[in-house]
Amino acid sequence: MSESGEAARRVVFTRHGVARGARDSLPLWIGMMPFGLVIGVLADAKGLSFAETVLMSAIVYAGAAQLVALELWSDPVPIGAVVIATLVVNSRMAPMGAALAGWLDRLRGIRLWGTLWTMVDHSFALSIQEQRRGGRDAGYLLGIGAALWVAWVLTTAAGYLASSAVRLPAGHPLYFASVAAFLSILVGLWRGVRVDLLPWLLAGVVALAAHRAGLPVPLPLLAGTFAGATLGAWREMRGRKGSR
Amino acid sequence: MTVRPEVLVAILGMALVTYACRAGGYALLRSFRPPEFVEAMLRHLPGALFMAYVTPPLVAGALPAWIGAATVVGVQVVTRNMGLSIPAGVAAVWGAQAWLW
Repeated sequence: MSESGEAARRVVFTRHGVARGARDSLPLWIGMMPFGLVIGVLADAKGLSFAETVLMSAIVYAGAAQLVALELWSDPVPIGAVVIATLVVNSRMAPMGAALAGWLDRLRGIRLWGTLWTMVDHSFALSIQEQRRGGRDAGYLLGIGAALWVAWVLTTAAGYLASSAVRLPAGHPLYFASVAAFLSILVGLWRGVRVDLLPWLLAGVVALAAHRAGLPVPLPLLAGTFAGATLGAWREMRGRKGSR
Repeated sequence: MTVRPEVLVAILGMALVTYACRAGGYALLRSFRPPEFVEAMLRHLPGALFMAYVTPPLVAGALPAWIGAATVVGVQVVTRNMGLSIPAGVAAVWGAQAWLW
């Protein structure tokens, strides 16, 4: 292979990139642990079997969605509600792949569709940073996603087993870990007062009002999300028109 | 080690829509450019989603939850490390509950 400028810029997919992604994911394991434990504990509290809990973590592999779905869980399972809630919560992933198109467009077959299968908030965020640094090894994305998958399945399994051994009472501080995880994600998403303050406030207020009005889950979540995102988009478009 | 049929259906449904978001979003947005307003909404979706998620439990929560929330945000802003901010928040709630009751 010639070492032309073209080749130097070409996106690659190597074992080395996968390994580096896996290594960079290690600090995130600690952050994932309380979240995974909470999912396991909650799954046990909702009457799921161990096999069902592990299966869900292994093939859904989306913490926020699993959390919301499990909160809706009852016996018999409201299948429509949990699937719709999952779809709503995970719709945030739809633009992620598009943002990583610089790498993904060069992949084919199982490398493309398999890597997408492992994509989560953290692997997305770290890969965007890697791309901006000039990284061109798309294996990095898979490495983080696959390593975090292992951590995810292990911690939810551990949470389930721990919960069966020690029953946590409602309102136990450990349950705060899920809210804490979302709050720390929010800190990372914050782009400043001018962009985010009003949409975020509206999202919170609408969700709260819908919740107080007694609307069933996930309607308060949906209403708040939609209201906030619409306001944010509307202000962005208006700002663009004004600057023209 | 049981997997009940209706639970299996629910889990498979969750997995299917999740993959549709991961891969379908990329496949669609690659071939069709959505309207500008939709693109802008997608950019604002994550923040609005998580705010809508945390606000009701925080407002319903007592003082310990607020102390925990302030701790998480403070530690996350300073360290940018979820591995520190999440346990710190849980510990703050734990401490505040023990102290207040």
